[in-house]
Amino acid sequence: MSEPAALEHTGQRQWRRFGRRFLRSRNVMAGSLALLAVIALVVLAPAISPYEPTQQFRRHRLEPPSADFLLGTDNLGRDILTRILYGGQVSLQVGIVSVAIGATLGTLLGLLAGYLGGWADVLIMRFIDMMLAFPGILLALVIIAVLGRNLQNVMIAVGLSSIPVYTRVVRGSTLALKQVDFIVAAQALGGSSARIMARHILPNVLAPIIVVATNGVAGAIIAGAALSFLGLGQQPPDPEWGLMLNEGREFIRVAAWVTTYPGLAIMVTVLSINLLGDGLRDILDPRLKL
Amino acid sequence: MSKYLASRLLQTIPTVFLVTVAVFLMLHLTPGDPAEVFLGDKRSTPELLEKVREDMGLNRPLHIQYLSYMGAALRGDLGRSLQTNVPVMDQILTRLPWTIELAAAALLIAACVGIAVGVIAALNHNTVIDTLAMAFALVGISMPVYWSSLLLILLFAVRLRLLPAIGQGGLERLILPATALALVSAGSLARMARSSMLEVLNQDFVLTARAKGISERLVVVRHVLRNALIPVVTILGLMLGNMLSGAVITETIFARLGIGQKYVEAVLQKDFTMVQGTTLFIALMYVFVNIVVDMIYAFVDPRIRYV
Repeated sequence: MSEPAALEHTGQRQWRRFGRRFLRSRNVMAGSLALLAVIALVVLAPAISPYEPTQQFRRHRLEPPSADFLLGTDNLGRDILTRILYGGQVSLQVGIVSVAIGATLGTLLGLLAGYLGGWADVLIMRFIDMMLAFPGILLALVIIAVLGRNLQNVMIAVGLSSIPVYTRVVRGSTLALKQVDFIVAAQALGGSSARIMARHILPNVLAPIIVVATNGVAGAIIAGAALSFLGLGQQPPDPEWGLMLNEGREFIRVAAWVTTYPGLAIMVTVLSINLLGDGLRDILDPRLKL
Repeated sequence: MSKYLASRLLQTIPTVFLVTVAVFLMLHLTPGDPAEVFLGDKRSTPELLEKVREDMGLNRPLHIQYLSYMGAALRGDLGRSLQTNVPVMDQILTRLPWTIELAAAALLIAACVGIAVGVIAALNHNTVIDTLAMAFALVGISMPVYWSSLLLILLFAVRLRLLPAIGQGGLERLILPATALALVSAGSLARMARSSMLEVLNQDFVLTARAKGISERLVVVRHVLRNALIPVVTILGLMLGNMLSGAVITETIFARLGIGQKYVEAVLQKDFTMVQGTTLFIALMYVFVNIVVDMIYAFVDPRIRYV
């Protein structure tokens, strides 16, 4: 069997081409550098900040940015920069975990619907249509209403509500792939459905999944922070960007920094992820419109 | 055309059925007894609890409960709020106009700004204008609506004192929430309008139109815009979903007594009947709007009907 060797060869060539384009794309480079900076700051929070995220300095309430408190303090005298850094750990975690949940389940459903066709397709797609009837954050709100409000349920809710995007993209690509010669050949050689889906179809639909998932992390961070903002996710006193925005809201007239900086943190993070996602889309799948 | 409509409507039936089942089951999947929530802090004896369960029909088999829930829903009765005991439908109908006002205004702003930016970017492809327009779109997409809302309040209500920060009624209380809500959609509309325009600009019939010697202005207005904007306009229907879900947040921030604000309140207070009824109402409304949009699309673009 010389076929796998040949495949591997083109595979390697493709990866090299991808690598070259990756380094040459301005969007990708700017996005990933900014994102790496955000991740580094957030992960190194304990090393960077001299304070604890819930530490209260009673004499320094609602203080504007100063040398001691670089981004000022909130109404309980807590250092905002420290809370942003620690809160970022939560937001990034929400983004990654919910995308992992949504992408895994959504891809699985999309593969099954597209490859098996027939009743499986009808059932899965009607289920997806049902989910799509709850627009945007509403589906996540419904799930939170059922599961109860805490951070773990936010990740589940945001993850589950992103299933339809992946299912639709993967199903579409799978349907197209099913007609291609090498899949037909694999079927003729007697490969089981599960094996063909896992070994032959999945690797070939990975590109659109990566593109959707990258932008999905940005969406999940926004949605997760929105739920915490509404009081349905992270509970005080622990920091989280959306929660910080909500806590600072009532002091916006006297201490705008309490709300502006956590919001800026969300936007910079989301912007860099979106830049990376746009660049990846241009490289991997120029036809995919989002 | 009628054949297309019939098949489109037929496709909707299972969706609507599944939506109603899911929303109905919500109440039963929720941990905690609705009867207990209803009784609240009042001293609930086992006898009283049993009586409330009986009154609410919670002791009957599930499918009977579903049928009676749907039967009542079809007559416009979605039950009563567990918190206030006011009929859910009344609450929805008093609050709906405020949400529609907000969503419509936001949709209008998003459509005007988004399409204009996208078209201008495409007509100036690969120039500084294009780059700036797309940077605007990217920032728009990356701005969470709660943050843009707070920034708008900070700038126009706190610093400049031009517009009121909260409340509803009148144009001056509509501008800020509608602008905040429009921003994300304007960003994605600008991107779509641009790519759709670029696609059409490269087609042969545009070349033909130019070859005929008519002015570039006429080429764009008569040939390009018409074809490029059809797919963009359809997206507007889907944008309504963004608007509804964004309204949940903007209404909360701007203290507008719309459906979205009520919804969050109901989730926080565990007012399950309210959540259930509102969810059902919004989902069915959304499904219905999408059908209408598809019909308009099929009417405007005959190619769709034969797919």
